[in-house]
Amino acid sequence: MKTDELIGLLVRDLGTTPTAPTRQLWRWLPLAVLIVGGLFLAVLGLRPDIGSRSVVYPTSLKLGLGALIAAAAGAGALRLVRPEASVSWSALVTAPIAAVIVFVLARDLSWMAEPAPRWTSVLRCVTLIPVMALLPLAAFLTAMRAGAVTRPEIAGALAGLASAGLAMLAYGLNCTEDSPLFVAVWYSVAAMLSAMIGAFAARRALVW
Amino acid sequence: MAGRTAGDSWEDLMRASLAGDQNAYRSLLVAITPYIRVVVRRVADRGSSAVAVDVEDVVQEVLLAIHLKRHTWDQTLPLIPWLGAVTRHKTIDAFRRLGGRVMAPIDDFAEVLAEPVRAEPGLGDAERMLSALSDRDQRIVRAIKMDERSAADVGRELGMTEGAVRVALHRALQALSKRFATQR
Repeated sequence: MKTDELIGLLVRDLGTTPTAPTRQLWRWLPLAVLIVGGLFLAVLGLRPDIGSRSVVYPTSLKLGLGALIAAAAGAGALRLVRPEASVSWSALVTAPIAAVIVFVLARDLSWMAEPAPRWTSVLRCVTLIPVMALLPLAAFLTAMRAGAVTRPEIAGALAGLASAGLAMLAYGLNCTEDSPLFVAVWYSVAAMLSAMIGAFAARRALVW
Repeated sequence: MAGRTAGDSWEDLMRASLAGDQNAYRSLLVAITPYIRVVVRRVADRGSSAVAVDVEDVVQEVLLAIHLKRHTWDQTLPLIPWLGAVTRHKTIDAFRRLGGRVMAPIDDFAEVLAEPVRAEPGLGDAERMLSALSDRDQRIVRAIKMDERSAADVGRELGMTEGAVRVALHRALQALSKRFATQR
Protein backbone atom coordinates (compact mmCIF):
# COMPACT_ATOMS: atom_id res chain seq x y z
CA MET A 1 0.00 0.00 0.00
CA LYS A 2 1.37 3.38 -0.90
CA THR A 3 1.86 5.80 1.95
CA ASP A 4 -0.49 8.24 0.23
CA GLU A 5 -3.15 5.55 0.24
CA LEU A 6 -2.58 4.92 3.95
CA ILE A 7 -2.96 8.63 4.60
CA GLY A 8 -6.24 8.46 2.71
CA LEU A 9 -7.43 5.70 5.01
CA LEU A 10 -6.38 7.60 8.12
CA VAL A 11 -8.24 10.68 6.94
CA ARG A 12 -11.33 8.57 6.31
CA ASP A 13 -11.02 7.26 9.87
CA LEU A 14 -10.84 10.73 11.39
CA GLY A 15 -14.42 10.55 12.62
CA THR A 16 -13.69 7.89 15.24
CA THR A 17 -12.92 9.53 18.56
CA PRO A 18 -10.50 7.59 20.72
CA THR A 19 -11.24 7.45 24.46
CA ALA A 20 -9.14 9.63 26.72
CA PRO A 21 -7.08 7.80 29.37
CA THR A 22 -8.52 9.85 32.24
CA ARG A 23 -12.04 8.96 31.22
CA GLN A 24 -11.09 5.29 31.16
CA LEU A 25 -9.53 5.64 34.60
CA TRP A 26 -12.62 7.17 36.14
CA ARG A 27 -14.61 4.36 34.61
CA TRP A 28 -12.52 1.44 35.85
CA LEU A 29 -10.77 2.61 39.01
CA PRO A 30 -13.90 3.28 41.11
CA LEU A 31 -15.14 -0.17 40.13
CA ALA A 32 -11.85 -1.77 41.15
CA VAL A 33 -11.82 0.13 44.44
CA LEU A 34 -15.40 -0.87 45.20
CA ILE A 35 -14.70 -4.54 44.52
CA VAL A 36 -11.51 -4.62 46.56
CA GLY A 37 -13.14 -2.59 49.34
CA GLY A 38 -16.08 -4.97 49.44
CA LEU A 39 -13.87 -8.05 49.50
CA PHE A 40 -11.72 -6.48 52.18
CA LEU A 41 -14.68 -5.80 54.46
CA ALA A 42 -16.08 -9.26 53.86
CA VAL A 43 -12.86 -11.24 54.25
CA LEU A 44 -10.58 -9.19 56.50
CA GLY A 45 -12.82 -6.64 58.10
CA LEU A 46 -11.96 -3.68 60.29
CA ARG A 47 -9.73 -4.18 63.32
CA PRO A 48 -11.87 -4.87 66.42
CA ASP A 49 -10.49 -1.87 68.37
CA ILE A 50 -11.12 0.58 65.53
CA GLY A 51 -13.24 2.76 67.82
CA SER A 52 -10.65 3.29 70.55
CA ARG A 53 -8.77 6.60 70.85
CA SER A 54 -5.31 5.09 71.00
CA VAL A 55 -5.49 3.84 67.43
CA VAL A 56 -6.47 7.20 65.94
CA TYR A 57 -2.88 8.40 65.45
CA PRO A 58 -1.40 5.22 63.93
CA THR A 59 -4.47 4.67 61.75
CA SER A 60 -4.38 8.25 60.50
CA LEU A 61 -0.72 7.71 59.71
CA LYS A 62 -1.44 4.64 57.62
CA LEU A 63 -4.37 6.20 55.78
CA GLY A 64 -2.50 9.46 55.30
CA LEU A 65 0.50 7.65 53.87
CA GLY A 66 -1.76 5.69 51.53
CA ALA A 67 -3.56 8.78 50.33
CA LEU A 68 -0.30 10.67 49.78
CA ILE A 69 1.27 7.85 47.79
CA ALA A 70 -1.89 7.28 45.77
CA ALA A 71 -2.20 10.96 44.85
CA ALA A 72 1.47 11.62 44.07
CA ALA A 73 2.13 8.40 42.17
CA GLY A 74 -1.25 8.49 40.44
CA ALA A 75 -0.61 11.99 39.15
CA GLY A 76 2.81 10.90 37.91
CA ALA A 77 1.40 7.89 36.13
CA LEU A 78 -1.24 9.98 34.38
CA ARG A 79 1.38 12.48 33.25
CA LEU A 80 3.18 9.68 31.44
CA VAL A 81 0.30 8.92 29.09
CA ARG A 82 1.65 11.78 27.01
CA PRO A 83 4.52 10.46 24.87
CA GLU A 84 6.76 13.48 25.35
CA ALA A 85 6.32 13.68 29.12
CA SER A 86 9.02 12.88 31.59
CA VAL A 87 8.67 12.36 35.27
CA SER A 88 11.14 13.12 37.97
CA TRP A 89 10.95 10.14 40.28
CA SER A 90 12.39 11.91 43.25
CA ALA A 91 10.22 14.99 43.12
CA LEU A 92 7.05 13.05 42.74
CA VAL A 93 7.34 10.18 45.09
CA THR A 94 10.42 9.97 47.20
CA ALA A 95 10.19 13.43 48.67
CA PRO A 96 6.75 13.12 50.23
CA ILE A 97 7.47 9.63 51.48
CA ALA A 98 10.79 10.64 52.94
CA ALA A 99 9.15 13.61 54.63
CA VAL A 100 6.55 11.41 56.21
CA ILE A 101 9.08 8.88 57.38
CA VAL A 102 11.34 11.53 58.91
CA PHE A 103 8.39 13.19 60.61
CA VAL A 104 7.19 9.93 62.00
CA LEU A 105 10.52 8.78 63.29
CA ALA A 106 11.35 12.14 64.79
CA ARG A 107 8.06 12.50 66.54
CA ASP A 108 7.98 9.19 68.26
CA LEU A 109 11.38 8.11 69.46
CA SER A 110 9.96 5.22 71.44
CA TRP A 111 10.79 3.04 68.49
CA MET A 112 14.31 2.89 69.84
CA ALA A 113 13.10 0.67 72.66
CA GLU A 114 10.85 -1.56 70.58
CA PRO A 115 11.28 -5.27 70.11
CA ALA A 116 11.33 -6.59 66.57
CA PRO A 117 7.85 -6.95 65.03
CA ARG A 118 6.23 -10.35 64.69
CA TRP A 119 7.17 -11.84 61.39
CA THR A 120 3.57 -12.82 60.82
CA SER A 121 2.63 -9.13 60.82
CA VAL A 122 5.41 -8.34 58.41
CA LEU A 123 4.39 -11.14 56.07
CA ARG A 124 0.75 -10.13 56.23
CA CYS A 125 1.57 -6.53 55.43
CA VAL A 126 3.92 -7.14 52.51
CA THR A 127 1.58 -9.67 50.89
CA LEU A 128 -1.88 -8.25 51.50
CA ILE A 129 -1.11 -4.71 50.33
CA PRO A 130 0.30 -5.75 46.94
CA VAL A 131 -2.47 -8.30 46.48
CA MET A 132 -5.18 -5.74 47.19
CA ALA A 133 -3.37 -3.38 44.82
CA LEU A 134 -3.69 -5.77 41.86
CA LEU A 135 -7.19 -4.83 40.77
CA PRO A 136 -6.59 -1.05 40.96
CA LEU A 137 -3.34 -1.65 39.08
CA ALA A 138 -5.28 -3.40 36.33
CA ALA A 139 -7.59 -0.39 36.16
CA PHE A 140 -4.62 1.98 35.87
CA LEU A 141 -2.97 -0.07 33.16
CA THR A 142 -6.22 -0.36 31.22
CA ALA A 143 -6.58 3.41 31.27
CA MET A 144 -2.95 4.03 30.37
CA ARG A 145 -3.23 1.74 27.37
CA ALA A 146 -5.46 4.39 25.87
CA GLY A 147 -2.54 6.78 26.09
CA ALA A 148 0.85 6.82 24.38
CA VAL A 149 3.26 5.79 27.11
CA THR A 150 6.91 5.93 26.07
CA ARG A 151 8.32 5.02 29.49
CA PRO A 152 6.38 1.89 30.36
CA GLU A 153 8.45 0.69 33.30
CA ILE A 154 8.33 3.99 35.15
CA ALA A 155 4.67 4.44 34.31
CA GLY A 156 3.92 0.92 35.51
CA ALA A 157 5.92 1.44 38.71
CA LEU A 158 4.00 4.63 39.46
CA ALA A 159 0.72 2.88 38.78
CA GLY A 160 1.81 0.10 41.14
CA LEU A 161 2.70 2.63 43.83
CA ALA A 162 -0.60 4.44 43.43
CA SER A 163 -2.47 1.15 43.68
CA ALA A 164 -0.55 0.24 46.84
CA GLY A 165 -1.52 3.62 48.28
CA LEU A 166 -5.15 2.83 47.62
CA ALA A 167 -4.75 -0.61 49.17
CA MET A 168 -3.29 1.00 52.29
CA LEU A 169 -6.51 2.96 52.74
CA ALA A 170 -8.21 -0.35 53.38
CA TYR A 171 -5.42 -2.36 54.96
CA GLY A 172 -4.71 0.45 57.40
CA LEU A 173 -8.15 -0.09 58.91
CA ASN A 174 -7.38 -3.74 59.64
CA CYS A 175 -3.69 -3.74 60.49
CA THR A 176 -2.97 -3.87 64.25
CA GLU A 177 0.72 -3.02 64.13
CA ASP A 178 0.75 0.53 65.41
CA SER A 179 4.46 1.24 65.64
CA PRO A 180 5.29 4.17 63.36
CA LEU A 181 8.56 2.48 62.54
CA PHE A 182 6.71 -0.61 61.38
CA VAL A 183 4.49 1.48 59.16
CA ALA A 184 7.36 3.52 57.76
CA VAL A 185 9.41 0.46 56.90
CA TRP A 186 7.03 -2.32 55.96
CA TYR A 187 4.33 -0.32 54.25
CA SER A 188 7.08 1.17 52.10
CA VAL A 189 8.39 -2.31 51.30
CA ALA A 190 4.89 -3.36 50.31
CA ALA A 191 4.61 -0.26 48.11
CA MET A 192 7.93 -1.04 46.42
CA LEU A 193 6.79 -4.59 45.73
CA SER A 194 3.64 -3.26 44.16
CA ALA A 195 5.74 -0.87 42.08
CA MET A 196 7.84 -3.76 40.80
CA ILE A 197 4.73 -5.70 39.86
CA GLY A 198 3.43 -2.64 38.05
CA ALA A 199 6.66 -2.10 36.14
CA PHE A 200 6.79 -5.73 35.12
CA ALA A 201 3.18 -5.82 33.99
CA ALA A 202 3.49 -2.55 32.11
CA ARG A 203 6.23 -3.90 29.90
CA ARG A 204 3.67 -6.15 28.25
CA ALA A 205 0.54 -4.13 28.81
CA LEU A 206 1.66 -0.70 27.64
CA VAL A 207 2.87 -1.72 24.21
CA TRP A 208 1.43 0.23 21.24
CA MET B 1 8.43 25.97 5.71
CA ALA B 2 8.67 23.31 8.34
CA GLY B 3 6.08 23.50 11.07
CA ARG B 4 3.75 25.41 8.81
CA THR B 5 1.83 24.35 5.74
CA ALA B 6 0.24 26.89 3.42
CA GLY B 7 0.08 29.48 6.14
CA ASP B 8 -1.34 27.28 8.87
CA SER B 9 0.80 26.08 11.71
CA TRP B 10 0.77 22.37 12.28
CA GLU B 11 -0.82 23.03 15.66
CA ASP B 12 -3.71 24.76 13.94
CA LEU B 13 -4.05 21.92 11.47
CA MET B 14 -4.04 19.33 14.23
CA ARG B 15 -6.59 21.29 16.24
CA ALA B 16 -8.83 21.48 13.21
CA SER B 17 -8.29 17.78 12.56
CA LEU B 18 -9.24 16.86 16.10
CA ALA B 19 -12.41 18.85 15.52
CA GLY B 20 -13.13 16.72 12.45
CA ASP B 21 -11.67 18.70 9.52
CA GLN B 22 -10.56 16.03 7.05
CA ASN B 23 -8.84 18.46 4.68
CA ALA B 24 -6.73 19.87 7.50
CA TYR B 25 -5.83 16.35 8.60
CA ARG B 26 -4.78 15.34 5.11
CA SER B 27 -2.64 18.47 4.75
CA LEU B 28 -1.01 17.80 8.09
CA LEU B 29 -0.20 14.14 7.43
CA VAL B 30 1.14 14.89 3.96
CA ALA B 31 3.32 17.68 5.38
CA ILE B 32 4.86 15.69 8.22
CA THR B 33 5.51 12.47 6.27
CA PRO B 34 8.78 13.61 4.64
CA TYR B 35 10.18 14.56 8.05
CA ILE B 36 9.25 11.20 9.52
CA ARG B 37 11.04 9.64 6.56
CA VAL B 38 14.19 11.62 7.38
CA VAL B 39 14.17 10.44 10.99
CA VAL B 40 13.62 6.82 10.00
CA ARG B 41 16.35 6.98 7.35
CA ARG B 42 18.82 8.34 9.88
CA VAL B 43 18.10 5.53 12.31
CA ALA B 44 18.41 3.02 9.47
CA ASP B 45 21.73 4.45 8.34
CA ARG B 46 23.19 4.58 11.81
CA GLY B 47 22.20 1.16 13.04
CA SER B 48 23.07 -2.28 11.88
CA SER B 49 20.66 -5.06 11.23
CA ALA B 50 20.71 -8.58 9.95
CA VAL B 51 17.54 -7.93 8.02
CA ALA B 52 17.15 -5.00 5.68
CA VAL B 53 14.49 -2.79 7.15
CA ASP B 54 12.12 -1.15 4.71
CA VAL B 55 12.11 2.52 5.60
CA GLU B 56 8.65 3.05 4.21
CA ASP B 57 7.22 0.23 6.36
CA VAL B 58 8.37 2.12 9.42
CA VAL B 59 7.12 5.47 8.11
CA GLN B 60 3.67 3.93 7.69
CA GLU B 61 3.79 2.49 11.20
CA VAL B 62 4.63 5.92 12.59
CA LEU B 63 1.75 7.53 10.70
CA LEU B 64 -0.64 4.88 11.95
CA ALA B 65 0.53 5.49 15.53
CA ILE B 66 0.14 9.25 15.16
CA HIS B 67 -3.38 8.64 13.95
CA LEU B 68 -4.41 6.20 16.67
CA LYS B 69 -2.84 8.27 19.47
CA ARG B 70 -3.73 11.74 18.21
CA HIS B 71 -5.89 12.40 21.24
CA THR B 72 -2.89 12.19 23.56
CA TRP B 73 -1.61 15.54 22.30
CA ASP B 74 -2.32 18.19 24.93
CA GLN B 75 -3.61 21.12 22.89
CA THR B 76 -2.12 23.63 25.31
CA LEU B 77 1.36 22.29 24.57
CA PRO B 78 3.46 22.47 21.38
CA LEU B 79 2.90 19.78 18.77
CA ILE B 80 6.49 19.21 17.66
CA PRO B 81 7.71 17.52 20.87
CA TRP B 82 4.64 15.27 20.78
CA LEU B 83 5.30 14.38 17.14
CA GLY B 84 8.95 13.77 17.90
CA ALA B 85 8.18 11.52 20.84
CA VAL B 86 5.73 9.35 18.91
CA THR B 87 8.07 9.15 15.92
CA ARG B 88 11.07 8.24 18.05
CA HIS B 89 9.18 5.63 20.05
CA LYS B 90 7.64 3.84 17.08
CA THR B 91 10.82 4.02 15.01
CA ILE B 92 12.99 2.49 17.72
CA ASP B 93 10.29 -0.06 18.45
CA ALA B 94 9.93 -1.05 14.80
CA PHE B 95 13.66 -1.35 14.22
CA ARG B 96 14.13 -3.44 17.36
CA ARG B 97 11.41 -5.80 16.20
CA LEU B 98 12.55 -6.04 12.62
CA GLY B 99 16.26 -5.57 12.64
CA GLY B 100 17.99 -5.92 15.96
CA ARG B 101 20.50 -3.33 17.03
CA VAL B 102 19.24 0.21 17.08
CA MET B 103 20.96 3.49 17.70
CA ALA B 104 18.38 5.84 19.12
CA PRO B 105 18.00 8.97 16.99
CA ILE B 106 20.05 11.74 18.54
CA ASP B 107 18.41 14.46 16.49
CA ASP B 108 15.43 16.05 18.04
CA PHE B 109 12.45 16.22 15.75
CA ALA B 110 12.75 19.97 16.03
CA GLU B 111 16.26 19.77 14.57
CA VAL B 112 15.06 17.64 11.70
CA LEU B 113 12.45 20.28 10.99
CA ALA B 114 15.16 22.91 10.74
CA GLU B 115 16.25 21.47 7.39
CA PRO B 116 13.42 21.70 4.87
CA VAL B 117 12.58 18.45 3.12
CA ARG B 118 10.78 18.15 -0.15
CA ALA B 119 7.78 15.91 -0.36
CA GLU B 120 8.57 12.92 -2.55
CA PRO B 121 5.49 11.90 -4.50
CA GLY B 122 5.21 8.39 -5.80
CA LEU B 123 7.42 7.09 -3.04
CA GLY B 124 6.68 4.47 -0.58
CA ASP B 125 4.91 1.36 -1.60
CA ALA B 126 5.06 -1.00 1.32
CA GLU B 127 3.43 -4.37 1.17
CA ARG B 128 3.82 -5.36 4.76
CA MET B 129 0.99 -3.29 6.08
CA LEU B 130 -1.65 -4.60 3.72
CA SER B 131 -0.54 -8.23 3.85
CA ALA B 132 -0.72 -8.20 7.67
CA LEU B 133 -4.48 -7.77 7.54
CA SER B 134 -6.95 -10.61 7.52
CA ASP B 135 -8.54 -11.50 4.16
CA ARG B 136 -11.79 -9.82 5.05
CA ASP B 137 -10.11 -6.66 6.27
CA GLN B 138 -7.88 -6.60 3.20
CA ARG B 139 -10.90 -6.66 0.91
CA ILE B 140 -12.50 -3.81 2.84
CA VAL B 141 -9.32 -1.73 2.92
CA ARG B 142 -8.63 -2.28 -0.79
CA ALA B 143 -12.17 -1.20 -1.59
CA ILE B 144 -11.97 1.92 0.60
CA LYS B 145 -8.53 2.83 -0.66
CA MET B 146 -9.78 4.01 -3.99
CA ASP B 147 -10.46 7.64 -3.26
CA GLU B 148 -13.48 8.17 -5.45
CA ARG B 149 -15.59 5.69 -3.56
CA SER B 150 -17.65 6.69 -0.58
CA ALA B 151 -18.29 4.47 2.38
CA ALA B 152 -21.79 3.96 1.05
CA ASP B 153 -20.49 2.71 -2.30
CA VAL B 154 -18.07 0.36 -0.62
CA GLY B 155 -20.84 -0.86 1.63
CA ARG B 156 -23.07 -1.60 -1.33
CA GLU B 157 -20.34 -3.59 -3.02
CA LEU B 158 -19.48 -5.61 0.06
CA GLY B 159 -23.02 -5.99 1.33
CA MET B 160 -22.48 -3.88 4.43
CA THR B 161 -24.05 -0.70 5.73
CA GLU B 162 -22.12 2.55 5.54
CA GLY B 163 -21.71 2.54 9.32
CA ALA B 164 -20.41 -1.01 9.28
CA VAL B 165 -17.79 -0.03 6.71
CA ARG B 166 -16.55 2.80 8.92
CA VAL B 167 -16.35 0.54 11.94
CA ALA B 168 -14.59 -2.13 9.90
CA LEU B 169 -12.00 0.37 8.72
CA HIS B 170 -11.33 1.55 12.25
CA ARG B 171 -11.03 -2.00 13.56
CA ALA B 172 -8.69 -2.90 10.70
CA LEU B 173 -6.42 0.02 11.57
CA GLN B 174 -6.39 -0.96 15.24
CA ALA B 175 -5.72 -4.60 14.33
CA LEU B 176 -2.77 -3.51 12.19
CA SER B 177 -1.29 -1.54 15.03
CA LYS B 178 -1.69 -4.39 17.50
CA ARG B 179 -0.32 -6.91 15.02
CA PHE B 180 2.92 -4.98 14.65
CA ALA B 181 3.26 -4.09 18.30
CA THR B 182 3.11 -7.69 19.46
CA GLN B 183 5.40 -9.11 16.79
CA ARG B 184 8.61 -10.06 18.51
